[in-house]
Amino acid sequence: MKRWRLTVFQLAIALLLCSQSAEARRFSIWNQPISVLGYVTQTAQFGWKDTCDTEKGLQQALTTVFLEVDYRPQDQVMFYVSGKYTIDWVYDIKHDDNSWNEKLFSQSRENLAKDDEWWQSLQEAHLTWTPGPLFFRVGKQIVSWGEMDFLRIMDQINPIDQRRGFGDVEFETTIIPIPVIRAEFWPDLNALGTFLDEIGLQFIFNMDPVFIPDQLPAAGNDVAGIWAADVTQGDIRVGSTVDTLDDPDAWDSDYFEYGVRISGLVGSSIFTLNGFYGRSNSPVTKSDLSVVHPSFQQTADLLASLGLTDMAAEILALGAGIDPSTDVRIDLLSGAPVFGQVDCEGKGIVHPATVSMYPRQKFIGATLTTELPFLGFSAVGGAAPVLRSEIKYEFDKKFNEAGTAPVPTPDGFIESDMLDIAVGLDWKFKVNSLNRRAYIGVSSQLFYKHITDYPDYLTVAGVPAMIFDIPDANTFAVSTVISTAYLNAKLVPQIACLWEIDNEAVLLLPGISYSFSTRLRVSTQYAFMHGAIVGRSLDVFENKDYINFKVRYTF
Amino acid sequence: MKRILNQLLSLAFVLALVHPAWGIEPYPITMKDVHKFKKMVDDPRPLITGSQDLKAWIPEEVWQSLVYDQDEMKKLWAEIVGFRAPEVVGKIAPEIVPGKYTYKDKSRLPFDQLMPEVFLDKFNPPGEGTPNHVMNFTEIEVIPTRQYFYAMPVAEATKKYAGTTRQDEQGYIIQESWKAGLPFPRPSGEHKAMQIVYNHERRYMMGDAFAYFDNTIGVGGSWRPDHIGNGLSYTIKCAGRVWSEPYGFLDSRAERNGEIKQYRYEAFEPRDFYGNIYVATFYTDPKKPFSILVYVNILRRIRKLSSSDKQDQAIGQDITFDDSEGLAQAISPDVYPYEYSVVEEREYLVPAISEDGSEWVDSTSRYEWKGLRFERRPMWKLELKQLDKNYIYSKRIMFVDKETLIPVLYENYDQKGRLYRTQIYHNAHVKPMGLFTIFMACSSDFIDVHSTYTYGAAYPALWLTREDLSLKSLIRAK
Repeated sequence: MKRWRLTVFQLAIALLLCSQSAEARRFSIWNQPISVLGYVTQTAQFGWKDTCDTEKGLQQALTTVFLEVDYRPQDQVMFYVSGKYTIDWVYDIKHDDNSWNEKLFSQSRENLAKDDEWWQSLQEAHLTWTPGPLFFRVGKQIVSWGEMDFLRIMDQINPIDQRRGFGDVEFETTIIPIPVIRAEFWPDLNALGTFLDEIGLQFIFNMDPVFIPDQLPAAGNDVAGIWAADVTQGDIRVGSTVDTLDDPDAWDSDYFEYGVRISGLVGSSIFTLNGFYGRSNSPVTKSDLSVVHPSFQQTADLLASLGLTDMAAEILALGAGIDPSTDVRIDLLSGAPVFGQVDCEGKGIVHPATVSMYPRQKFIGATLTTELPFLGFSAVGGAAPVLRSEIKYEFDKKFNEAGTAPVPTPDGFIESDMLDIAVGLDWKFKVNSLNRRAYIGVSSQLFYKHITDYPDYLTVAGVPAMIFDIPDANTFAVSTVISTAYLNAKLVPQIACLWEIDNEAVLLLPGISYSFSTRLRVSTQYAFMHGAIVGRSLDVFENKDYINFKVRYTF
Repeated sequence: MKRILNQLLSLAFVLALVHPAWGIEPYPITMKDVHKFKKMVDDPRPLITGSQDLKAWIPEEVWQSLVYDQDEMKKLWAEIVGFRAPEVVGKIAPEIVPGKYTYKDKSRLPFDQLMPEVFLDKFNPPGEGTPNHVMNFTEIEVIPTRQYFYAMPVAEATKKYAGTTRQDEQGYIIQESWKAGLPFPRPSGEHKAMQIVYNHERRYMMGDAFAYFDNTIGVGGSWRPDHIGNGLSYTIKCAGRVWSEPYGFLDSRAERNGEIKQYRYEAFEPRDFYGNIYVATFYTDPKKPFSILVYVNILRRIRKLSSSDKQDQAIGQDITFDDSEGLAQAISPDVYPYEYSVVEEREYLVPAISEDGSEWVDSTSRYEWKGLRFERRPMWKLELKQLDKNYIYSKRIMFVDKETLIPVLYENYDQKGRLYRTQIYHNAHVKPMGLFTIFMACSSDFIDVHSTYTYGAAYPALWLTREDLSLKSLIRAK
């Protein structure tokens, strides 16, 4: 089946690439237009650090083929289907590379060499019908809420694919479409004489025909490849986890999701009011303390039989939450663990045993987008900024504990309401000394997060409980994207930055692209990642700075 | 849940049967339909012969409701503007008579006296006389000057409200004084130049509601095409409607907000723009910033764009938003104001408004413009001197036809006084209806040496309602 899908893709692409004119890709079926478009990208990503969690030199070589078909049998009826196929050639290129194999990157081939799950190959497939004031869309689709970029606040309906870092994937394919029913009603307000120019009511219903979770970076080179989080403690490296999470059953009513959104236009301002009841696409995870590694268990049993119960308890506590797949034994003379599997620095690799769940997700929120004309100054080009704002209040949100240690709550997870507020300004400036012909675009965002009941208790490990990557009840982050264009808008330099203030973490993504034509574009991007606090936020990617080169051909 | 779904579906079917407010069945066509009549390049077939294209695209009853007696239209329009073009030309370089000419004839005949310099330079083989820009021409046919005219309802409204549109001391329109029609059919007086520009701003080229397919090719200095784009736009007049119901204001919202026009553009190509849809709302009050919303395909979101972000070049093309259809800047005393003047009032030899759409562009010959006819036209040459040095241009020169009141050529100069960009609009005239449409356009960048050829086809789209240009309409394929 998978081979068949690839063959169809290759054939379609070959046919399309052979056609020179745009018209050749716009066909007719029953005298109605059908468009076939897409792109092919090839990237090569290089790192320069030679640490245990990354690879020096070539470390990723992705080919992505994206194909989309849009058929409109009637003006009110549209059928859209898109698919993609992603292959990372680095697994073949480096299959006999010692460093690559010793660091276990080769073992992540199963997860990252090819995106060949059906839901990865089939992106969107939906039917849209827009009779009168109504809008229906049924099928695998993307429903995007919210106004912010970079960090998602209310944009929670679709899962995301973040397994391959920040820049080496096509943005469009990082959002994973899911099957939902979407219905909208846009009444004619003209007769009402209201101040509203337009209003629409949207209803989203996900009957959970298939549950596709977020695809997130993880620990363990054998699973997450070069994007494995670098988590170490003393002589131990955290490897891939072994989780007892069961995927939800299809059509399980407990996983049905409901979303309601009211959108309105007043003058030139847009507002939305949103409500969502469903399941988080990311699981919350805690250590499974019921699992004790057999070596620790055997040693504890031995110590207990010798009457050394305190020592036995200590050993048992140390072995709790360590999956039996961890290659470790206890040296009876020293009492220290001896690892059979170590990283390149000799640190023992531990595979944690964890237990996870997809928690209920309930939130309400609102957005407002408007222009601020009084901030348009002719001396800098006269472009007034557009203000984007978003607020979300999430009820009973469950969080990962920073050390995945269970906490003294009924289900062992931290739980609190959470408030997110974000504002963004999209501004353009004319700076003749930098660019006489085009504006400098600046898009800045400020994110604020408030945890209403930040934990003030200890975990079962006896340390203060702390939410993973949210170190305080109030945290802030800032993002900025700056770009401009030269040479007839062909040369576009850009720099993107994310600063997580409370995590003392910075992500910097400078890049430049050149379009030879609307078909062919080359680009390069450098990624700098820094986290000042060990084990938190971008610190786990500190060694993964990279530069990538990309060629993109659209058809 | 089943019951709710059933009820929703029932409601949908009922609403689906409800026709738009003014009860005209939609009759959309596709780009494929346009290309059946004439392809973008290398196709010398006429597009509009006998108006067969529009007759093929428009239902018979709609066609019949939009055609008028041509003699009546000619008579009324001549009465409104006070002349017929053929009667007022022929005084400059009379030795250039109807007939065929090549660029070599420039050396023996005084074309330099009769042609605007931009056309004189383009009357050369590709790459000669101009930078490597598209749509140079080497052969032309000079034809006798023709009389052009507007649709009867446009002419009647223009006549009815002639003299009622007032200007303030600086020449800016007092908004409530304009009701409908072209506001200044006989520009005159102290603010004559502004009146000419206002005629362009309130133009009635394609009527109250129309669809327009555009195809663009951007070509770099090495003659390599680097941009291929196409899309479909819908335009609907919100005020001053005279052609089709509802007359006057489109609805109470248009009246309440002072809206003059709504515009929707759906990009089909290039692929990265495919699914991007823009909706812009324009207002009569120049102090009220227009609204522009865009459905961004990759984000699957509606984004608001800054209404004042209008000076950046459209990607791959050689115009800015402010250059759309020649001049889309608000005529404002506060934001990038101009000093307007009529530099010349005389006849020029310019590309004849096409009555059959047989002109074409030859991609095998460096995008040479072929089948081109020229005619003497009575024109105004305007200068719009920019008073704010921070604007992208220091001045705009406009050549405006005195009979059609439509500009045909723009020259835009940068702040150093260099010729930066030009735009040529080669319009077509659908005589049975008395409407005009942008048939071909050429935009050129003289500093970065790049140019864009645009081929378009328009037709009246009387079914259009607010719904077709609403937030809902922004979400289509993706």
